[in-house]
Amino acid sequence: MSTQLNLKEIERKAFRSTYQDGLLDIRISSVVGSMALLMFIVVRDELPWLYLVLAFLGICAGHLVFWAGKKFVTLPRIGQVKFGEIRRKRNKTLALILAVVVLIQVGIVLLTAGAWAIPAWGDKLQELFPDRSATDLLVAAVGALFVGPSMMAIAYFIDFPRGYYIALVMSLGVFLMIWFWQPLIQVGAAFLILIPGLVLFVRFLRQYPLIPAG
Amino acid sequence: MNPPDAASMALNLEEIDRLIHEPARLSVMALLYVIESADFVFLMNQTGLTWGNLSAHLSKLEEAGYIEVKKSFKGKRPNTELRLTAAGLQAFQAYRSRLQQLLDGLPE
Repeated sequence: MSTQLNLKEIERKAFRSTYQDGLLDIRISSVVGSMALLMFIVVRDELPWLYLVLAFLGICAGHLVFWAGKKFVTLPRIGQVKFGEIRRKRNKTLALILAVVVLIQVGIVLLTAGAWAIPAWGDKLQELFPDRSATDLLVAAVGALFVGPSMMAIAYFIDFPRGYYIALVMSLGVFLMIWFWQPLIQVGAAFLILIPGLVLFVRFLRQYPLIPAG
Repeated sequence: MNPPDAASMALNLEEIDRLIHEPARLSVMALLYVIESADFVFLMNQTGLTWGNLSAHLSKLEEAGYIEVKKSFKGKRPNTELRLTAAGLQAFQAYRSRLQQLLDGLPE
């Protein structure tokens, strides 16, 4: 038993213990994998509905595994905890930052739709990037810049150190997927996130056996 | 700062809350101080205490009015939720400051 009285460290250790089951990693990997499936719709001009349904099912499966895992595996083993006001404030700040990111993304989507609907806008953009590969590069960079910093903000505000690794893998995956027009790269990124999650989950099950109700 | 004499040191030690000063209870109190509430299993995992040991320490803290224990059922499983009371919070803050004063008074 540790007798060191470092209150910040005690709180941080208690907070981080809620992520040691690897379930968040598994959930994020399902989202990353589903992003790759959505890209297949663009790359392969066949059965778009199939990829759409598979992507939807992938995200649902990730959320279901996370929810069920927390409820039936994690909580009975490590117990339940409510953290204080500081953690709640950090969560609110994170929600605000992510809301701003989503708003910017909506703005970009609207601009893109505008360029599509109004050919003059599209022509101006094409003048800026006459080479198609330059356009791909721009899209790839914008995609990676949204995904990476958003995940880093999540990692920082929820005190989730593995989130920085996930942010790097996700942004590289998005960048290379768009740059090389190859969804399999993002599938690889999903596996690079999933594998540590699964290893942590197995380790968690070994480390925390189920405590009989008493 | 001059080193404290033996008499004042003994007096300061008397002011330390012995109920909190015991390492296992100190660990429980410190954890409950930094979070809002937790259940029995969480406290057990975080402190590394056994079921019986933790239960005994919690009973002492509850008797002193330092912690509040709420027993309920989550589905079919019994759940014991624990949190510091206002008295517990005050006692822990006083313990911290007294211990700090005492340690600050020690020579290098």
